[in-house]
Order: sequence, then C-alpha cells, then structure tokens
Amino acid sequence: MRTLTFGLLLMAATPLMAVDRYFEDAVEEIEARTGGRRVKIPMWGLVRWVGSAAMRPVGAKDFDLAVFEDLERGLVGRPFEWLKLGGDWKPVVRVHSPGRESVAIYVRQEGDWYRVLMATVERREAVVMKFAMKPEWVLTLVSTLRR
Amino acid sequence: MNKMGVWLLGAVPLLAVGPSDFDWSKLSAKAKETVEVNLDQNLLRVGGAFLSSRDSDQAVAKELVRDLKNVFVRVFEFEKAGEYTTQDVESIRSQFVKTGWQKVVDVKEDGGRETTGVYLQTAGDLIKGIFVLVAEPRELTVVHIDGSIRPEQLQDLGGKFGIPRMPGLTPQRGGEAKPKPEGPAKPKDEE
Repeated sequence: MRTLTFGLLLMAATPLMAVDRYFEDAVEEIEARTGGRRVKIPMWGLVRWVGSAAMRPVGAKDFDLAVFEDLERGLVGRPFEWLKLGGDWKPVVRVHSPGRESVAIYVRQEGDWYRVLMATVERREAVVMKFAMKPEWVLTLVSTLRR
Repeated sequence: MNKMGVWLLGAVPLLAVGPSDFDWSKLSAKAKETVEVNLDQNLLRVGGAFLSSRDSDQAVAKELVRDLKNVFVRVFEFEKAGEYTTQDVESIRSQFVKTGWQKVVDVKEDGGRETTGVYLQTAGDLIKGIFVLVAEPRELTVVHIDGSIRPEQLQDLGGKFGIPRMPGLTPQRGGEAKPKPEGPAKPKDEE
C-alpha cells in the first residue's frame, strides 16, 4: 500500500516537475548542438542561495547559471532553431550570427513575475541563465539594448 | 456552407497576417546577423506601469511605452551590398503599409543608396501606428510600433529596445510632418 501511495504521489508530482525543466532542456540542447560541456562552478549552490534569498540583484530571484567552455562547434543552420521553448514562452530579443554568436531572451509570465531564460552561444563558449524578475525590470533590461 | 461562413473563412488570412507572420526566413538566411525584438502589449502595459518616474532611464521608457501595444523590430545585416532586392523591400512594405497609412518621411542619402521611410497610421489627430523601413546597402531595418505615440518620441525610441538610431527620422520636430514623394529603396548593387 505504501509503495502504491508513493507511486501515485510521484505520478501526481511529475507534471509539476516537468514544468520547470526548461533550463535543463536548454542546457542539454546547447551541449548536444555544440559539443560543449558545462563547467562546474565551485560553491555555486551557495552563491545561488545567497543571491536569491538575500541579495536579489535588480529584484531577480530564482536564478541559475550554466557556463560552457571549449565548444567543438558554433551554432549553424537556421536562426533561432537551436532554442525551442514551448508553451507560453515568448522570444523578446534574439540575435543570430551564423557560426559566430547567438543571443536569445525568452520570457514567460507567472503572475506578477516574469520568468526569463537568457542564452548566449559564441564560437568557443556559451552561457545560459534563468531568473525571475518583475516586468518593469524586464522592460528596463530590453530598453537598454542599443545598436 | 452559407455565404457568411465563406466570407468569414476568406477573411481569416487577412485578419491573421501581422508582422510576426511575415516570412523573414529568406532574409535571415542571407544575413550575417539577424536581430529580433518583440514586445507585446502585456509586457509593455504591466512593465510600463511599474517603471519608476524618478529614475531617468525608466522615466523615459515609461513615457514612451505608456500607450503602446506592440513593438516589433527586425534588423538584417549583410556581408556585402546587394544581398536583398527591391522586391524584398517592397514585399515588406506592402505587408505592413496598408490602406490608411501615410508616408510622412522619405529620406534619401548617399545618392539614394540609403533610404528611410516612415509611415503613420492615423485616426483623426491620433497616431495609431508607426512603421519605419530603413534600407542601406548592407543593412535592412524594419520597425513596427502599434499604439499611440507622438512623432517626436521616435527620436527618443532610437537607441532603446533594440531600435537603431536613425538620423533624419524626425526632422520635423516641433513642426508639421510633410509627406514626401515615395521612391523605392535601391540597394547599391541594383542601381
């Protein structure tokens, strides 16, 4: 009976766990497309906790970061196909230079907050970040984009 | 199927076509760099409402986005001149500039190789939309702003939200915008 209950609880929790897989999916996608490996950042768990719980830079919370080095290849092919987020994710900014650099900022509204996924892939290195911030900060972030 | 049903079906493609529905893949496939910025009404409205009036940067953005519904930017940078054609430019223009749009700025520089066209969609004295098309030999810029905005604010938008600074966009600041004769943009190699 206990096993059955545990199994049912796990099954019930699976959809919730799947909702937050976007960051890991992006990490895996970049690894697969570029042949790069995620760099381990010492004490990253602690830094994340302090940053999210105490500092909240520009009001951001729930952030995570993945850094890749020594990419075997840059991104090629059709622009923006490399990062596909379904559901309610919307691309706010995307920049693509084939084989050189790709930048993408996606947002998803969650109540009063916007969840942000930001990814930059260059020839030899890549960075993926996720965080949640208030919409005015998202707008401020985008408004500072200059050409 | 009754006549109304047929009419509605026929109208659906027209209603659905918008900036994001345009097929940009042909241009982006040739471009050495493609830039996209898409800001929808929700982000503009919710975010704009909470921008600070005391912070100078935020105050400018707050004023700009107050009545905007959508901001749409596409910039294509090419390796060399002539990688897009006048047909490409014309298809973009015809996609955005429909009945009711008025060309208010037509700047030609560098012997006509660089052109800037600014179109307004108006309702009475109210500007409901702005479309900017800048065609340079190696760069094509499309800006579509849906919502109320004053022409002089265009200059303030330049350099923000990924919108390039476009000299000559608002030469009529403080004066009346005068429509100028239209002329198709011509990339260098097509002249």
